[in-house]
Amino acid sequence: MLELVDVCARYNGTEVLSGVSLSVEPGKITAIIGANGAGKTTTLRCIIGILRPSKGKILWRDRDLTALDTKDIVKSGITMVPEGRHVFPHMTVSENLDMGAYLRRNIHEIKKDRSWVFELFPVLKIRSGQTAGTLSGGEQQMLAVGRALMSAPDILLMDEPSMGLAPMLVDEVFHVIHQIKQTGKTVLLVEQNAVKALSIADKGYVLELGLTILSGTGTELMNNPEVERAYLGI
Amino acid sequence: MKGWDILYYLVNGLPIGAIYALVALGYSLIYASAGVLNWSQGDMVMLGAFIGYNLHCLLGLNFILALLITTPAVACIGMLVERIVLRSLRKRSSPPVNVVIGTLGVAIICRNLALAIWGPDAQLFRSPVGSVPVEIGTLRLFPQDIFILILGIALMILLQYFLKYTREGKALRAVAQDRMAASLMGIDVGKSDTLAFAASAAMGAVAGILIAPLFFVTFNMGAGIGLKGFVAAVVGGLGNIPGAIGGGFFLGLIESFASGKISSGYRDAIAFTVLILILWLKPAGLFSKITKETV
Ligand SMILES: Nc1ncnc2c1ncn2[C@@H]1O[C@H](COP(=O)(O)OP(=O)(O)O)[C@@H](O)[C@H]1O
Ligand SMILES: [Mg+2]
Repeated sequence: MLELVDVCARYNGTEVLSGVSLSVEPGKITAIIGANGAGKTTTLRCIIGILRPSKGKILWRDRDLTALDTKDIVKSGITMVPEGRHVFPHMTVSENLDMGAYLRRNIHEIKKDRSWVFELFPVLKIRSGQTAGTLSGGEQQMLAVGRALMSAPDILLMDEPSMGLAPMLVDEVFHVIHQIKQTGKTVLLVEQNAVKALSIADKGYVLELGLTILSGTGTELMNNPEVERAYLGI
Repeated sequence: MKGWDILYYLVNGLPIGAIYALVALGYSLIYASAGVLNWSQGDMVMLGAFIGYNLHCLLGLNFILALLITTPAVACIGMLVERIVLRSLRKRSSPPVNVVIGTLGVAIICRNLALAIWGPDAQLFRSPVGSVPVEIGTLRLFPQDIFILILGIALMILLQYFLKYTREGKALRAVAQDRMAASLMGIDVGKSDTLAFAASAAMGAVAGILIAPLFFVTFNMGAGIGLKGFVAAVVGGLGNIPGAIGGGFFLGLIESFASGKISSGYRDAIAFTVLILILWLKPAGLFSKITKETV
């Protein structure tokens, strides 16, 4: 279980997280929803070690991650699909997937995961020799997810995987997240698309101005009048 | 222009172009990985020349052996520069310009150290491959020039191989293309910077040993060659690896042409004028269109 206890963070002295507490159950999908600027990305940056929290604890397997470097956090079994894809633009699709497996040595296992990624995203197989910079936005998003899966993570952090995608692709991405869960992996999903996120989430948190103000199962939050008004636009 | 003329400019321009390319590669490799300019790059050339001079000319060591000792020695100095200057300034999250000033400090220290150790006099480094030119028609091919071209190009191919096919090389390319994403792959981005500094210093050292027989070895030779290499890197597009190679050869040829057609006294002035024109017309570098791939 991954647990955040009262995590605070600041950029250049300005506090943007003022108390984020949440727990991510193994094998489940946990969603964080919240308006633009609420601190969702910042929360994920703290978990993966790109940003060091100014206060609070991030516990994973009896360790506090707050003092570790990103590479050591990735080694411990967490990886992230960053907001905005961040594929390696001048590398081919195939090379991008190889980079995902950078820390792994077992070639047999890597091969197996690669075919699994190609099963999840057949288009990546077709494009495997193409440089990532020439892919469409949707294809880049799939590559970013596929690359993260190549790290064989126990927990996958996903930052707005549906952002900027056509409605049909959004459905595909959420379908894949569901499939990833079915292989026993844990997912922490950050989304502005609250309806979609809560509909596949086992558990959800609402983040507002750097504070976790609400939590519950996906259905509970969807039926919460406050959430409905503020985030679901119903 | 007659065929012989063109050959003449090539014979004169390509060897020095290879040297510029090696130095330019150093700038671009470090810029690609760490995003900073290393002003001590020219002084790695000087250290390579002096350590090589010491081992080969003073101690009488075999040239190849001297090269094989000098190169890793200077690479270690490059790593030290990364550790001491870049890392400590990064920890304080200093702006990149502070790192540039830091490396400028390293350059000055290197020069003064060389002055203290080897003195102010220019030292003669005899070519290990002899100085009797081969004459073909009116062309004169000097063995040292051919030696420079062969070794220089071999090193460039080796670098490409390293970047394309080795685990560390691929990691360096990943860092160059997206530092944050590279760290998400579990890559030690700091180690990649160290590697870039080591490789750049190593290429500088080889360039230094190779040009030592063409010029004299002096404590401040790094300034000129460093500047030329930097210009070549900028012409090729800073951070662009194939561009650095192209920029180096291009600068060498322009210089050869300028001194042949006009006057060697105006060589640098003409070369730099052409380069300013190029940067004015193509700010991203001469090779920004041809080679989309940077690293
Ligand atoms: N690199 C940064 N430097 C300074 N402020 C930032 C930076 N990134 C985000 N912020 C600020 O922090 C707050 C939270 O941002 P973010 O975590 O990106 O929100 P979300 O992902 O929920 O949209 C916002 O007010 C944003 O402007
Ligand atoms: Mg965000």
